[in-house]
Amino acid sequence: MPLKARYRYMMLLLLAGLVAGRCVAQGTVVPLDVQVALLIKATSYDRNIDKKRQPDGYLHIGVCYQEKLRASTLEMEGIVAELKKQESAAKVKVHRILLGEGQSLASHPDLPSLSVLWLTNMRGLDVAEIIDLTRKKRLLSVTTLPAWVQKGVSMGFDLQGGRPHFLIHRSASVEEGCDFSSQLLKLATVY
Amino acid sequence: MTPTFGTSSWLSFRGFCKVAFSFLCAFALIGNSLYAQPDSLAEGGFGDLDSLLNLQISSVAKYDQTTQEAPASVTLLTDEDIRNYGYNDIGELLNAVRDFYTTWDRNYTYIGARGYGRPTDYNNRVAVMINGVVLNENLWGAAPIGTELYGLDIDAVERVEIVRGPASALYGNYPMLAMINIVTHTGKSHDGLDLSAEQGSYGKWQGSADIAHVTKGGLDIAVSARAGKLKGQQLYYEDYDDSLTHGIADKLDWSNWWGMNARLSYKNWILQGFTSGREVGVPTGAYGSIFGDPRFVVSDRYSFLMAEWNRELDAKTAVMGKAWGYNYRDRGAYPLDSADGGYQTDGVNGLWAGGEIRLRHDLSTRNRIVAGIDGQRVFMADYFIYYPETDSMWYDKHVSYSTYAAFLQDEWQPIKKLSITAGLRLDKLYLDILALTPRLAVNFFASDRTTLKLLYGRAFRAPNAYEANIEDPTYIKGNPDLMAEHIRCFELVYDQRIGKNQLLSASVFQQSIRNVIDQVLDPQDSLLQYQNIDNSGGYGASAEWNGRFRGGLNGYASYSFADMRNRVSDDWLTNSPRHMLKAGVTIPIATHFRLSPEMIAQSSRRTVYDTETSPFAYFSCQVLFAPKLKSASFLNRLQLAVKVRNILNTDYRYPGGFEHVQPSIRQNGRNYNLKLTVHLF
Repeated sequence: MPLKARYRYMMLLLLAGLVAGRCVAQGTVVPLDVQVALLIKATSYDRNIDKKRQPDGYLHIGVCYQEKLRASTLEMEGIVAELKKQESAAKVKVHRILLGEGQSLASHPDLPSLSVLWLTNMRGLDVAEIIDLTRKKRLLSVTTLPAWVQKGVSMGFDLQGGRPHFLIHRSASVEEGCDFSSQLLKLATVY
Repeated sequence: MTPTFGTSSWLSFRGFCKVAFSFLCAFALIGNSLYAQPDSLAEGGFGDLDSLLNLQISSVAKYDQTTQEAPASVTLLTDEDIRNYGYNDIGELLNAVRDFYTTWDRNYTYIGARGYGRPTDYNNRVAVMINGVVLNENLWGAAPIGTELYGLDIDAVERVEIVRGPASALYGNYPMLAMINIVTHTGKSHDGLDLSAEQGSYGKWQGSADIAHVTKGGLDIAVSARAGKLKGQQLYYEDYDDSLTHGIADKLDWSNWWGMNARLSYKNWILQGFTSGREVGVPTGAYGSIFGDPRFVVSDRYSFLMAEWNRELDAKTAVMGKAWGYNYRDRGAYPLDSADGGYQTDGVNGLWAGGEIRLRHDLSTRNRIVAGIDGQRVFMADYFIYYPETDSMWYDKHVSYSTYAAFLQDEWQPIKKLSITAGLRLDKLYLDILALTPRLAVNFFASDRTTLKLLYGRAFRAPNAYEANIEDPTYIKGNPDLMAEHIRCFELVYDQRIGKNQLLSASVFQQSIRNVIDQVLDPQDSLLQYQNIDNSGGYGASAEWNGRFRGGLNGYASYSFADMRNRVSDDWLTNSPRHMLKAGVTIPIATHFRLSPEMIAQSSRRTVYDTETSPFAYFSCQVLFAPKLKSASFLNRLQLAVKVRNILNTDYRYPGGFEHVQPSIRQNGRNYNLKLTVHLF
């Protein structure tokens, strides 16, 4: 194959591949649109949910991500896109919370207005530090990584038997000001 | 021109590349116009392809990542695929995977990948693992995938991770062509008790049990067991057609098998035990045995125990320690067709233990390293030849040795769209051979739907204890100067997501294999000896479409091309199909049924006697009845699967080796299997 023709084929491939598309869930087995729907559903089972709403009547959800980690950024974009679709129906507002070298969550300007903190798949993150903060600030912590629920994040999602499944850290959720009904706890794996 | 499968490619490689690139570009360009609106929870479903692509696998880089992020070309087959298509074993499953093929000589099943599958090499160029534990035994390096692994209950398999290409940079010896990791169920993924009973052609009976549960205290238990037997069939071999036997071997291809797998995990600990054994009658008259003699029997048993401990030291660092002990036992009984008669037995006793310590550290959010050391002590890699009729031990070699290795891998994401993985491993092997194997992978995430991977890897296979030491003054001598085989592979992989439900994958590769170990006749003393004699190599390409739609409609189709040759003689390699076409679909019917037809087509393969097998197309189909009644009926716990293999009764054959008189071995005709499964709780 002549060199020019070979390069033409390669460029065509690359250009075709660069067409933008829907964000695909990364780093977690349960698709992000399902996770968002499950979170919104779960909040309806929290007897204290109205206490978490801000004065504007909305639940403000901060999605934490690391800009330099592709998996984390993709998850954030997917979660933000899904939450924006639910904005008026579920009365939620979403904030992007960038974490990284030199950026502390405790000093983030959006923190005082948040009700829920969603942790995407991040590296080198001291989860214990974040959990400490969410408990002090009474923010519901949610994660895309099932393993972090066992570490003390209040809520996560997993697939069991091919179906999406709640994971709830009971004591963490209580310390974060939640009061989940027994109906939700029966559906979940509780740590 | 009607394409035909034959000795000459009906489509030149360059022409194929043009067609393939055009095909891929067309798909990519029109992909977004085919994009369907996403399903919502309210509509009762979510994308199965999402779940598959988001599965975390750890076999490629030794930490969790998706197949898109992995620095390799990976295929995943899930328990749903196994259930829908009714795969009975790993060998049958591999036949459906792009680039792979198997060969069965009615004794062992052998893996070929990308056109390279040396006749009767016992799969010592592929690493087969169960939950990360390498199954390759320590004398021949044989990896079980056929009846030797029937003791692994296929219903207890969560997924199979198939990684193409060299993987020695992390795993050392064996994975020259591929690495296959079988991941079994856990209590978390599959709570309950399933019992199955099967009946099939040739007098097959098989039963299995699979129980898994997570206790309130957090102990995750999963135990599975399977056992069965096969009476055999009447087989005809024209090469043995004489006045005595008329070439008929009646029910000499019987087999029995059994096995168990148990996995316990609690907090940071995992404990696993596995055993799989089988005994088979061999009807082919191989190794000079008396044709038609029922005393030709081979048995194998693989068993291991493994303990693993994981801990995160801090936010950036995790450490893992693993220890294993392994036992392999093989026995063969061969009624010899020689002037003085005789009944020969041989056997292997293998016992080894090892350990690995591994560290994972994030230098930054964009830079992750994995480093580790592992070592293994082979206490026994013993091989003997014994004549029971004269009570004489003809050959008895005891071998013991140690191996050590250190590895390091770095994954760096300089920008969001780019990930570079570089790895290096140093092994000290049997015969004090040193092997240094690198890998390099560049993953370019053109968009969240498009991934390009440029891969370079090397791998090796050390000479095994049999090749280096086997001695029989009448026909073979050892060779302690053997060098390791090496493979070098370049590959370009393209993955394109189309809409929510479809994935298109394509790859082109070039690979070279040097120092191939094979038997040659030394003219000076007329004795056989294993030597490094061959250099092989070639190129190939493949493409695959995969679709997973709402309601359980799934499908796949793939085409592979490989041209592998002996670099010295330029001969087309034996047992190397140039073209392979595979396709399958699962169609849900009336809520309770799933119909899953499959097709495998291959071009001819050259045999060791320089003949060619005929090209063939082979069709199978399974109907799965899984009631989903609205009432809480016991019927909802039942599943009935009816599978017919080789529906058209195609006469197809696979090449044998030099131990066979016949150039190729005929495979099974049309046969059926009935399976009833009960999910008790």
